[in-house]
Amino acid sequence: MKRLLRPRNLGLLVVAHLWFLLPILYPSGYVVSTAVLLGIYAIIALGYNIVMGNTGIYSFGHAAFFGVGGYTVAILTVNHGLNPWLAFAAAPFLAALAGLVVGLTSIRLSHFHLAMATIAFNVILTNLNFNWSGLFGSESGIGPMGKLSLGGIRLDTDLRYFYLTWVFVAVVLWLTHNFVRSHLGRAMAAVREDEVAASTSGINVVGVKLMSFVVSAFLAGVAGALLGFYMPYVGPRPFTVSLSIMLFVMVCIGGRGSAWGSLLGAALLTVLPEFLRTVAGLSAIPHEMRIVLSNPSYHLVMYGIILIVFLVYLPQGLVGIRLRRRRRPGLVGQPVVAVEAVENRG
Amino acid sequence: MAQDLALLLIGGITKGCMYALIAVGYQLVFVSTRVFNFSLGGVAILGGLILLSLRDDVGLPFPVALGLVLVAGLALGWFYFQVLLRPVRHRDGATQMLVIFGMGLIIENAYALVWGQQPLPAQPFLSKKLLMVMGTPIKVQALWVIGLTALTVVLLKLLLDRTWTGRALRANAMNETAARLMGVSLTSVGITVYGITLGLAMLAGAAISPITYAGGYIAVPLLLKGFAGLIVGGAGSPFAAALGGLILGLVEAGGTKFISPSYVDAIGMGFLLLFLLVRPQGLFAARVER
Repeated sequence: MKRLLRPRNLGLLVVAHLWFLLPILYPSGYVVSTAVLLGIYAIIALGYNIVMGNTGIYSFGHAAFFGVGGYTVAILTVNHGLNPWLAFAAAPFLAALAGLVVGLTSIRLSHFHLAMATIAFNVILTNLNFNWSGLFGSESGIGPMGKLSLGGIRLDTDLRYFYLTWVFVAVVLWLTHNFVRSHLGRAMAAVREDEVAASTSGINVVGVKLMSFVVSAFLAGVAGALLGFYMPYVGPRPFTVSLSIMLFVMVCIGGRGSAWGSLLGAALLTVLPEFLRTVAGLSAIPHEMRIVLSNPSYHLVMYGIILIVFLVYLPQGLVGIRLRRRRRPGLVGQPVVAVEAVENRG
Repeated sequence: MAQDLALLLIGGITKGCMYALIAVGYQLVFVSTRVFNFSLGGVAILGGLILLSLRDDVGLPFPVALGLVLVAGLALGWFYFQVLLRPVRHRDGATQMLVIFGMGLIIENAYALVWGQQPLPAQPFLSKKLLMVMGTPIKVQALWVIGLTALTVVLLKLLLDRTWTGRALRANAMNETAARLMGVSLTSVGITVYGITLGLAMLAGAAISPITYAGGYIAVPLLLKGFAGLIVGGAGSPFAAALGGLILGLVEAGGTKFISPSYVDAIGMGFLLLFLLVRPQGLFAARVER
C-alpha cells in the first residue's frame, strides 16, 4: 500500500483511471475504436518486447503469431461452430505452439540470420493466408465473426470491447512488468548482454531464448484473438511483415526492455497515423498534400525516419530520457551508462 | 515439352540473375564491413524508376540516362556512409544494420509517393525484339540482365581478389584495428563499399525494370530473395552469392510451373528456411560464421 502511494505510482493510477473513463468522458466512436486497436497493438508490443527488448532477439515475424491467434478464433468459431470463449482460450496456446515451432527451427541462428528466418515464416503464412482459400478464406477472409458475451452482455459495441481489451492490457502490462524482474526475466537480460557469460553462469541460453519466443507468441495469440472478435471478418491484411516491422519500431522508440516503453511506443505509432489522417482531412490542407498524408506509404516513411532518429540519438527509447536524467542504469543495461553511474558515485 | 522446359529454364535464369545482382551487393557489403545492407531492394527499384523518368519524362538518350542512374547510385552510396552511418559508425553492427534498414523503409515507400503505387511499364534498353533460339523466344532484355550479372560477378571477384582496394576491404572486415594500423581508412572503405553496392543495385534495378515493370511492390520481395540467394550460395565470394541467387530463381520457376504460381513466395522463403536450418554457411562456402 505504501508503494502504491508514492507520487509516481499515484500519478500512474490517476492516468489509468482517466484512461478507463475515456469512452465516457469522450464518447466518440472513432476515438474509442482507435483506443481498442491501440490496446490490441499494446498487447503484442508488450509480448514482442520480451523477445526483442529483454532477450535481444531480432524477430521480424511476430505478426505471424498474431495471425495464428486471429485465424484460430475465426476458423474454430465460424467453420467449426465452437463456443467463442473456448476458441478465445485456444488461440494463445496455438500461437505459443507456433512460437515453439519457429523458435526450435531458428533459435540457434545468429542475429540477422534469425531475423531473416522469422521474416520467411511470416511471408509464408501471409502467402498461405492469401491463397489457401479452403482453410483461410483467401483475401476476403473468414466471417462473419460472432461476438463474445460476458455474463449475458454481448460485447458488440466499441465501448464494451474497449473495457474487455484494456482489462487484458492492464493484466499483461502487470505481468510483463514483473516478468522482467523474475528469475527467467533476469536470465533473459543476461543472455542479451553476453551469451557466453550467461551460459557460464549456468543459464541454459537456448532454453531461455526459446522460452521468450513461446511467452511472447502466447501474448500475440491473445491479441490476435481480441482482434478476431473485434473485426467482422478475419483476413490476411493485418498480419503481414509490415506489422512485424511496426512492432519493431514501437519497441525501439518506446525503449527496449521496458514494458511501459512498449506501451508508449504502441500508443505513439497507433495514434500518429490517425492524427495524420485527421490532419489530412482539414480543409486548410491543399489537395496534393492530402493525398500524400493519407497514403499508407507515407506512414512507413515516417516510421523509417523515426527509427533512424531514435537509433542514433536515443537508443534507449522514450523511457531512456527519464532514466538518463536520474543517472540510473537503463533496463537495456547500456554498459556506458552503468560505468557513468559508478563514476558519479565515486 | 522440350520448348516448355527451355522457356522455364530461361525464365528461371532471368529471375535468378535478378536475385543474383542483389545477392552480390549483400556479399560485397558483408565481406568488407560484416553488415548486411537491408535496403538494396528499394534502391534497385529506385534505379528503375529514375531511368524511366530520365528517358520518358526528360527525354535523355539511353546511354546518358543509364550513366546518370549509376551516378545517382554512387551519390546515394556516399550519402549512406557520410551522412547516415557517420553517427553510428563506432557502434555495433546491429545498430548500423538497423539504421540502413530504416533507410530502406524510407526508400521503399517514398518512391510510391513520387511515382505512385502502380507499377509502370518501362521500355527495354535498346531492342524490343524477341530472339529466337532453337524455336524458343527470349527477350533481348533478359540477355542484358544475364550479361550484367556475369560482368558484375567477374568484376567484383577481380576487385576483391586482385586489387589493393579489395584486400583493404577484406582486411577491414577481418580486423578493423589492424586494418587501421596498416593505413586502411574507414571512410574510404565505407564510401567505396556503399558507392559500388548502391550504384550496382541501381543499375540492376534499371536492367530488370523492363521485365518486372518499374516501381510497384517488388522491393521487399527482391530484398528478401536477394538475401535468400546470399544464404543459399554463401557469403564467401561473389560467385557463390550469384550462384545462390540463380539456384533460387530456378527453384522458384520450377515451383511456379509444377506447384502453383500463387505460392511462389512461400516456395522461395521455404527454400531459404531449409538452407538456414541445414546449411547456414551456404552451398559453396568453407566457413562463414552463422
